[in-house]
Amino acid sequence: MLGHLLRFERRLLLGSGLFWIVALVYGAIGFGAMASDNVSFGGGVGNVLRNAPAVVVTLLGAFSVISVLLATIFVGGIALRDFEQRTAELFFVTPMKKRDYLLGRFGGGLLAAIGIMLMLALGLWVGSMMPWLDATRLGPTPWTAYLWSFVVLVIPNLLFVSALMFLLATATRSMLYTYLGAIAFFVLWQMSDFLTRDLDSRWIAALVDPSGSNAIYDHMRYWSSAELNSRLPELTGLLLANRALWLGITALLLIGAFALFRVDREGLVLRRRKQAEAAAPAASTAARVPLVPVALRTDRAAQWKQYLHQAAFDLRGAVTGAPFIVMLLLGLLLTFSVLKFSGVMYGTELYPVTRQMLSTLSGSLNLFLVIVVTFYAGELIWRERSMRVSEATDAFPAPNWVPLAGKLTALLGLIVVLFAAGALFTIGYQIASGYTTIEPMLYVKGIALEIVPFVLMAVLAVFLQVVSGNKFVGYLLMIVYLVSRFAMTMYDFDHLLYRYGGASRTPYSDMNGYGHFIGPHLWFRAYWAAFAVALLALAAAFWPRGTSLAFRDRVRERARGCAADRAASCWPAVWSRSSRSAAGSSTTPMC
Amino acid sequence: MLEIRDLSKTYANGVQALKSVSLDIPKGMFGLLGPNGAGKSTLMRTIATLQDADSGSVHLDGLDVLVEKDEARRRLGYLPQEFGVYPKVRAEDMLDHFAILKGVVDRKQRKEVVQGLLRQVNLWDARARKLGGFSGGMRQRFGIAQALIGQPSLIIVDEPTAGLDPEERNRFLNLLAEIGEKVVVILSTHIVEDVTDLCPRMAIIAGGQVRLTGEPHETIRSLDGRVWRKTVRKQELEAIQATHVVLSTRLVGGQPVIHVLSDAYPGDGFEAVAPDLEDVYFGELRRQAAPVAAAA
Repeated sequence: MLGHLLRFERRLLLGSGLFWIVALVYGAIGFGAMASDNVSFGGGVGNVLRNAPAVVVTLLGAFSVISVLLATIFVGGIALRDFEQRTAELFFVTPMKKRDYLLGRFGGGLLAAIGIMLMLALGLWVGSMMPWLDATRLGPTPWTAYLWSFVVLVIPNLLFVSALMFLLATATRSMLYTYLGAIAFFVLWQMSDFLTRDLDSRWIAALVDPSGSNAIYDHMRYWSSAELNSRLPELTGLLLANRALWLGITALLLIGAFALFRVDREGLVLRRRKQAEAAAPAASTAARVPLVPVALRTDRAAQWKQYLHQAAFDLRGAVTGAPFIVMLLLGLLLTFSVLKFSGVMYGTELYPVTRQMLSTLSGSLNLFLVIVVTFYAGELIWRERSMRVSEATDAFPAPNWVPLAGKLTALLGLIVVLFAAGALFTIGYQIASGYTTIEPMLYVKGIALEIVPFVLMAVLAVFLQVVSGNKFVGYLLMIVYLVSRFAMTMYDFDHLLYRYGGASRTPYSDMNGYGHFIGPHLWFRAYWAAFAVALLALAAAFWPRGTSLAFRDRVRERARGCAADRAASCWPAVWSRSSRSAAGSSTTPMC
Repeated sequence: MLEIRDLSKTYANGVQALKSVSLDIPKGMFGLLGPNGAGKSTLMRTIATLQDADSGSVHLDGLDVLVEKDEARRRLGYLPQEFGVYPKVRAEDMLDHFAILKGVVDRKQRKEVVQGLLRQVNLWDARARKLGGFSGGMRQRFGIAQALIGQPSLIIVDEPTAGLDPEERNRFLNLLAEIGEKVVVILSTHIVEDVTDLCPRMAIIAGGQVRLTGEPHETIRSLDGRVWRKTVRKQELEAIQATHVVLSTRLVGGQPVIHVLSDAYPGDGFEAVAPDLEDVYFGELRRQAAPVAAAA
């Protein structure tokens, strides 16, 4: 039975586009990591060969860590699939054993994750064969290192994160909470890593790190280049203890998932709300109520009110939702721990000056802002559709720009709320530390400057969501954008005129403020803001309305809009068509 | 008065959902009857400006609905087939949100509209409850409240009674009958009784084509003396289906009871019955299937 279930999972996976896309991306990352001549990961520098066993071990160990979030998609997705597709009851009425069912679903997710890591290893290997690499910097392919990494690092790490995600998914039965759990785990782990870094007793850091990287580093710390080129760490001491500890925890997580899993209830309910089971009003005839006649307005002033209302409505919905609150709390938690530790750097106590607070705040919130912007762009743009309200609202006479602008404003509101909460928090920290020179104006200026890049990112995320016509494709495009940005930096493509949203730095000094840095900085921001406006115009032009999301239909709709004497408001459509006809033209509207 | 002329639509996957549909729909309730997949929802969505037709036109009192979409949307009230709600929002707040988007921007006026509608659909007592806790019937009544904002002159309700229990269904139909006196109300459904109970005019649509339009009573009268009933054994069923136009087969106490359509007395054991709209409906569907059967 288990074998059959696993074969079923394998068939589904191999037919799934998502699996192959992710696998190809991972393969490409592996290839790039090994075959790129101007960057090198994993310590293959100096006399250490690019494909030394120690480098392979470090790389695969590091990537098995990064795959936490992506592997979550598969393990969590498979664990929840039967509940989302409503096939669960079909399975649960069969005489199949619970053990088989759970192991089959878990195994399916694990196999997907391992398959993706194999693609990464394949990418590494193919990368090391590339002819442009300096042959003297390459040794023979360290097959044993690949095998060793998979057995000691990759598979146990994937087992652990898969078990964690599986437990979260089976217990909460909610994809959202599974994702949040994954993010929370990631953040807590990074924090523990950060907190244990300075400790004298390195063994604690080596043990609490679930990826085993610290333990490996501990083993190889004093190795010579020759050793790095030839040896593998021994599975003893701290490394063995670390692996045993986390495999044990994995087993506990799986037992937990097995124990918490019930076929007969809707997941784990932490707190039962008292439902006011008021009977429906029983009058069987409708009350005759004279309705006041109203005029429906569509003028500019009415549209403005509709926009403000849409923004407030969506912002309220998002701010009061669990995901945002969790992000906010985690962001503040990280801010707090960074403050705690940056305050005593190099053994010297620092004043919690506002400048310091601001840089800590933006550093700590950065990750959460990226997540919030990406996630909520999709949530807000597709809110009506996913709740099946859109068919009603799309037939209302409000113009397309109202929901677009409203949702973008709500997204900006989320960014502002994050920063404002962070600022209040750091002000509290300053006061609690007995430091009273708060400099409120500097807070306002500093946060205003920090917000701009996220506003630009929000516009891009909204644009990608709108043109892709699908929430998950939009997310994927956004991830591709973030990764490619990172990749561009590594390959030294770092000119600010072609890095979206880029701007020169604005170092702040307590003596002369932002000084002469602020002017060029603002010019760059203005330049990219103009580009963002163009993106918004395109998004407005192709705003999804009605039943069909096919791009063809949206272009046709736009074309008709032009014909109906509204050419001024739809120049992007004109532009896109003219640029298509002008062969070879690759100019963008703003630059 | 809603005039639909030669409306055709073929989806990208090749399914021809509408084949040159023409209908004249006067004020009052108009029933659009058809099986699942007949093209009802496509027609409804096209009239509701949510979807484009490949060809044809729709005019509402002289207004070209498919071209002047914004103006059409001001006169339109639409309850989609699968109407969802935000589960964590209170009924009142959600209706207020809809009212603003529809163009009732004046705060005081909006408050009156929202209160009036909630009373009319009998949700006044539930106004402060979150929509997630609403039953299917309450949700549909909320949906009709949303469609009624701003006195639309065209109201479209797409399969509103599917999944409602009999009491909720009655309540909902009463509500529709109340509002369906002065404006055009199109009720699309696959439940024959909905149309019999409510609609002075109706059309049957199947396979993307209008099969019949008229008044339910008149169309029923056209079958007078032509519908026959017989209780048969299960084994006989196939033989009868080969020789007669069987309108419907239903089990009564485990025994198949069939209705057949025949101009003359169809043979022993059959008794004449008064036709109803269901016989008309099945008669139209069978007429469509007949050529296929002959070819086979």
